[in-house]
Amino acid sequence: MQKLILLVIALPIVSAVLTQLFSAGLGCRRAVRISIVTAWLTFLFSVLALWSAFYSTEVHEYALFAFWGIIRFDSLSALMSVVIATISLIVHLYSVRYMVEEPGYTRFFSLLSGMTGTLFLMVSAGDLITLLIAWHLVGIFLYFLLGFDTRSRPAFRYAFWTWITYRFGDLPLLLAAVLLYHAFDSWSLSVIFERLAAAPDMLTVFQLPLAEVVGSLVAISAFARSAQFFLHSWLAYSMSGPTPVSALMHAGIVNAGGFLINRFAPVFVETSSVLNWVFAVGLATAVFGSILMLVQNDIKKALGYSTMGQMGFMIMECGVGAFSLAIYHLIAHGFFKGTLFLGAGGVIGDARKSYNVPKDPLYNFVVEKNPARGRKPWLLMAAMTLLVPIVILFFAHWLVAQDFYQKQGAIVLLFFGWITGAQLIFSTYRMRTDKPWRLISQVIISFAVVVLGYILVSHAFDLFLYPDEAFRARIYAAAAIDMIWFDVIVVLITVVIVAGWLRTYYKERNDQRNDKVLRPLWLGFYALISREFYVNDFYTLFTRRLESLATRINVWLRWI
Amino acid sequence: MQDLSWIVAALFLPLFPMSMVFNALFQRVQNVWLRVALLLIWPLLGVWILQSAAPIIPGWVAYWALLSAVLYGFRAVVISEFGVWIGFLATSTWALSWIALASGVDLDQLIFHTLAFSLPLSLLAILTAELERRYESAYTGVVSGLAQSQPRLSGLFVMAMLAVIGSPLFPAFFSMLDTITHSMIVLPAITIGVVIVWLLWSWSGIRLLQDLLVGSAMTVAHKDISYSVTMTYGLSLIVLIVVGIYMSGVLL
Repeated sequence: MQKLILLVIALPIVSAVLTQLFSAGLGCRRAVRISIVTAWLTFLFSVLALWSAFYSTEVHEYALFAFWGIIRFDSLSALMSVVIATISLIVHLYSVRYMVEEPGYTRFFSLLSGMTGTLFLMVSAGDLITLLIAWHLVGIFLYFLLGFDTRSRPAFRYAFWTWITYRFGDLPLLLAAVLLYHAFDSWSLSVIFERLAAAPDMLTVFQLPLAEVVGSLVAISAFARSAQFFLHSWLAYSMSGPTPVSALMHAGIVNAGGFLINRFAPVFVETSSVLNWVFAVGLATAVFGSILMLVQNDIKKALGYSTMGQMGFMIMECGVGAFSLAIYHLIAHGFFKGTLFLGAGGVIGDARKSYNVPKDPLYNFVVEKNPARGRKPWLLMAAMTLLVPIVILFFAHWLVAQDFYQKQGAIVLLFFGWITGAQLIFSTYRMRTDKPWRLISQVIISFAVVVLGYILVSHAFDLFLYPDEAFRARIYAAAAIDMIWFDVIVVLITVVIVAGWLRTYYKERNDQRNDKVLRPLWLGFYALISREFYVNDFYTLFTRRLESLATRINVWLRWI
Repeated sequence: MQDLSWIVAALFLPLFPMSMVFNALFQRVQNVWLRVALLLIWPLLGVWILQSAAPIIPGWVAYWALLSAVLYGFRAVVISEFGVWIGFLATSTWALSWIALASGVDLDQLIFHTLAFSLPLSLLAILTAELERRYESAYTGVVSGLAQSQPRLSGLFVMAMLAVIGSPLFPAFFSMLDTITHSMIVLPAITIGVVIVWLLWSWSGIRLLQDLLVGSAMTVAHKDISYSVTMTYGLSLIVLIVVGIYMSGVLL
């Protein structure tokens, strides 16, 4: 049954070739059927493969060549394969009608199948060379999918941004692979992980600790793929590609960073500080992505920045040692973001036909920014805002594992759950509604269901992906920071958030709409975020300078 | 005298400024088959000189080679003429042979390294000639929107370009992987430079390709290449992939 993973990889690749080859003979629509049928078959086989993974946690490897081309079947590859197969199938089916009037209809399906096959290869790679090949090919396929409309220069302009960021991200992984090969004289991941566990303190070039260097390089590669801050600008701008490609990218491809960190978990458990700065980068990305999302007036771009924020959360989860939670997060995010993208066209179409947006409480709050007039007692609401999330979270974790609070990562996640929940209740409180208590109780129930579901499911993922309890504990230990620093950070963030709430409540109660002291600061901040922190401007300027220098050198050397 | 033979070899595995000789010659030659011959034979002459004279090469030559590779890779970023670009890429890629050599790659295997780039560059030169035959130019300022008007030729350009810039599973990918694997321990600082050079090729190659393919079809219509010719070129690309997989067994 485990050998089905080979079929899962091979089918889309064969389909990519056949769809293109037979498009002239069979006609476009018939050729596309090949792609659809293989997408269904791939989905069925991947489900069967996952089913077999539930019954056996053993790792199976199948070698295609002497020392590379190893296909690895384990719980991670089986789970990721089902996710990819499902998203790919949905995108295939959606595209049948959506893309039918586009020139290059079969080319699109050929590229889509090629991309799907490459993603399967990436998650099932059992050696570093295969992983590098798949990692690199994903960038190539994505470039041509984003630039599907060969008449559109903007589409290609942003496809190029994606391409160059991905290429930049390929290189650290390449260096990490070569360092591991030198250290352990093998390209096989199983062999490398086994030997690394036996000699975790090994040194590498410049007498640096191998695990730290490799972990850092892998993390940088993951950052580029998952649009972390400073390597994110391509994500929100790559919307000029077809909508199904946006769905596939945001639902599947961009999540590869979380997968990569999970794949190299045996390396990360041997590191001491890498996961700490992975957390910091994830946190910065989550914050900046969310801020940028709020100022967009284009639905697709807002979704792009929302993905950036979500990727930040995913990487942050890795940074606190909750590796399997990151996998759960990427799956959940993949499905809901895919749905949003595939539905975005319909929403835009409806909005163009009629502007009759119902003025319900949500519209009032989000669009017209009208806070509620009749308020419940402030103190009661503040207490509820603070206590309800924390009670739910504590209850949820009591269900999962009683020693959970001994893990810093869990506390950090609890903390974020608490902030998010509190924020949600606070926002609801500000909304104008005839039945505030009903709304708030609905919010609390939804929040409880989401948190409980999230924690229980992530615990199940933990057991499935990392059945060894000692290994799970080591991941959390690798993510741990000094207790003093930890306490300082937690207290600091709490103070900032509580102070923010207090200030907002105070302002609302006294109806101070125009704060003369802070207004210029807010305007400056708005200018900063409306220019997207000048990151794109910086890259554009940097590129122009480089091109200008290259031209000058060429002129000076007479173009020879 | 024997010890200085590497300087002669540096003319054929071009190091800057000797590289200007090759590029001047390559730009002057207009016949496509002469260009292909230059691309295939020129670096082999360098390898042959090194094999027959077996000189002792100073350690600093690796840094000189990196400088040459970066210089031509960087200059290629703004090139809009395919002929010039092929010459620059050939220079940049062949220069890395010195780094491979300094990192301990066998002289016998150096032939694979040079051919890994020469073969796809030759194919690109042939396709460039197809373009020149139609538009009397291979300058992207003149020719654009090729994907609309000549989809088959465009597809071949895409694949050949991917082969040149070291995409998997083409030979150049495995050559680069081998060079980096060897240099990482012996010359770790240089390895960082080598990966930057690889990034520069990706930048310049895709930029050039994009300028050629994207946009509305040109008003002057030309016939696309025939199905059988496309298949022939396609077959040569498949052969390149097979060579790449074979090379992975020999080199890695």
